[in-house]
Amino acid sequence: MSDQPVPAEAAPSRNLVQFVLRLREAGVVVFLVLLGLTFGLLNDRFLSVQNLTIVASSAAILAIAACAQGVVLITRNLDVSVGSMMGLVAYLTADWTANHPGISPAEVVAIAVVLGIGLGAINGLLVAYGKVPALIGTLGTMSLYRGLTYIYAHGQEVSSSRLPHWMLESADIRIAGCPIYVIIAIIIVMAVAWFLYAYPLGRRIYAVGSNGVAAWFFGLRAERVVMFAYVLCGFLCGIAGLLYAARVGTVNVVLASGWEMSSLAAAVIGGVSVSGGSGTVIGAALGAVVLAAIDNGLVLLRVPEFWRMFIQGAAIVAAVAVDALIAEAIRRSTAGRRR
Amino acid sequence: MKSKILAALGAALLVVGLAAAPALAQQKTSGFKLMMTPKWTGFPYFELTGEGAKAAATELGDTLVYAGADHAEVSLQVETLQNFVTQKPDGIILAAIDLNAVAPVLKDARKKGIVVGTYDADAAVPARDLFVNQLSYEQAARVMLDAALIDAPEGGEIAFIAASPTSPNHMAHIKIMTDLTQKDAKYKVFKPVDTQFANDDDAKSYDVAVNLMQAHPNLKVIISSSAVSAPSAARAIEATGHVGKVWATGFALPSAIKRYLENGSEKAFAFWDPWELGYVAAYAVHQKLAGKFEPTEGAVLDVPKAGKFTTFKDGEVVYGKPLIFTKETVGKYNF
Repeated sequence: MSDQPVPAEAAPSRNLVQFVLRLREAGVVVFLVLLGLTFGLLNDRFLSVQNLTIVASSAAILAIAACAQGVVLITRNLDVSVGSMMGLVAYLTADWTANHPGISPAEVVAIAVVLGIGLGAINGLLVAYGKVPALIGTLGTMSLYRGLTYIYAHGQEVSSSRLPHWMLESADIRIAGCPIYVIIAIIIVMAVAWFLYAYPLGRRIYAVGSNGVAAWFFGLRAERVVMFAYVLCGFLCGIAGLLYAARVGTVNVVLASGWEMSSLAAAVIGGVSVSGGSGTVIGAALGAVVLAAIDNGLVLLRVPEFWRMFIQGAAIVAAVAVDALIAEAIRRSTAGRRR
Repeated sequence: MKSKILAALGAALLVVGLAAAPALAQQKTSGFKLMMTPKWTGFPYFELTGEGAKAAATELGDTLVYAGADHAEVSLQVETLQNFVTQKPDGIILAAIDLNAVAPVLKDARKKGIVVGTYDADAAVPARDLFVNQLSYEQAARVMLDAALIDAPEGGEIAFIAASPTSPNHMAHIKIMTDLTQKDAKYKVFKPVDTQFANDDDAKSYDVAVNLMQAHPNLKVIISSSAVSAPSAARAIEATGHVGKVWATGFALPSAIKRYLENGSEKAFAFWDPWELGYVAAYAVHQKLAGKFEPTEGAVLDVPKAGKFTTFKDGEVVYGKPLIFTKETVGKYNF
């Protein structure tokens, strides 16, 4: 009975860590609720089911891109070629589809997915095996993939009238009033989240990101794990690119440019740490909803465009600051535990 | 003595020759070497302007080279123009990507006696001899409102999508359209309620259109002079189930909006004939070279196959033949 105080002392600090870690995902939920209430109070249309459906629908593709970015961020890397991968996959897939009118939907999806995996694998090889710093490596492929899109497109665009009818129509499907894109995004994000949570390879992604050296001592081959994260990122970008092409209908060479930053912003707002090892892809997807809600809410309130950029920027800075504070709190509490 | 006379004779001949040389050059009315660059090559719209210009050149006995980079990058356009100048053409025709960036090389070309004509998008005034403008700002504003009247004859709330607050033509169109809805009885049925910006980006345009319909439940027409935003707005209307309640219109390439016109979700979009625009641009530069047309205010450019076009201030020749595409006519155009 004399050693009872020791676990009793350890328990609260461990709980604190768990509480804070849980807070990382809770933070974006709280923020989203506050945002919703604020907009709801200022404009009675914001919280209507119809408008919330619109917000979810606008967020759907970005949620998948943020999920892709999130997986790479968790390994303590990043991927700034997300937008270029989406653009290249979307263009090549749309062009192929336009030139092969009898193509089946399954083939179109297969093309997009295979292309995405291929592009992601190139990033993975560079960063994991080539030991190129993630920022530099993917900055390179960002221009490379976009450049390829320009070269391939040769100034052309794929217009909606050249795409098969089913492609655009399937993007507009609603199931019980819910846009198909929202359902697809939820399924994909949940599947990735479950994979990261429950599968050994998923756990290794966290292990490599939170402490690469320890993971190495533990016998994890960090290269393989990082490689896998980039391939998964490419796969998700392939899907996101295809969904994007089907939604907008007109596919040109600048499709999804700038999405590397939006996906990064969504992931960080959603509590994925830029220093790796923590955060969830569900958080990243919710971060995308936050960005879509800000965009929608400020238009409803008739706030000029440039305030929207300002407010989105402020949300990102705040999220990163909170991220740093939490990291510091965790460092302190774990340091205390070791003593 | 003899040698002196010969020398004097020689000098006299030289003087006559020097004086005659430019006179002879002015008399040249055909066989000019023209070089043309669009904003970027490969895009159906610009390819058609190139074909039109080539047709004019062939008819007039000139040769025309059409070349350029495959994407709209101003440094590449400057490079193309520098290559042109070293090949010593008689005339250069271009659609400028940037008003000022191409000015130095064009001024250099003009110093060398090359006639410079812009079309589609102008360069700085001192850098070119003439600008063949597809539509004046007012014509553009009117034709877009006319298309909106086809969509919603009963009128109602309208909203605009521009590229950015600094895109001069979009903002001028919006200002004139707003004025027209207040002053012109024909357009008074419309009430402008909002202006949003989408950077000529299709996804952004789609989201902006969706949010506009959310913000303004009574919105009738979304108008954009961006050929990217107008089709994206049509797509947004279709995808969010607003067909028949909200209409999109503005400038769009027929290929981009064919689908919506044919499936009935949209009624009318506007544009102009790029083939004829290129034809008139080449014709104008040829006539200037041949000394038959001087682009001063009020001067009229007579193009037998296309019409008579008036010159305004600063050498701006207004082509000014807007087209409205509807379900019935959209199939006739291949750009």
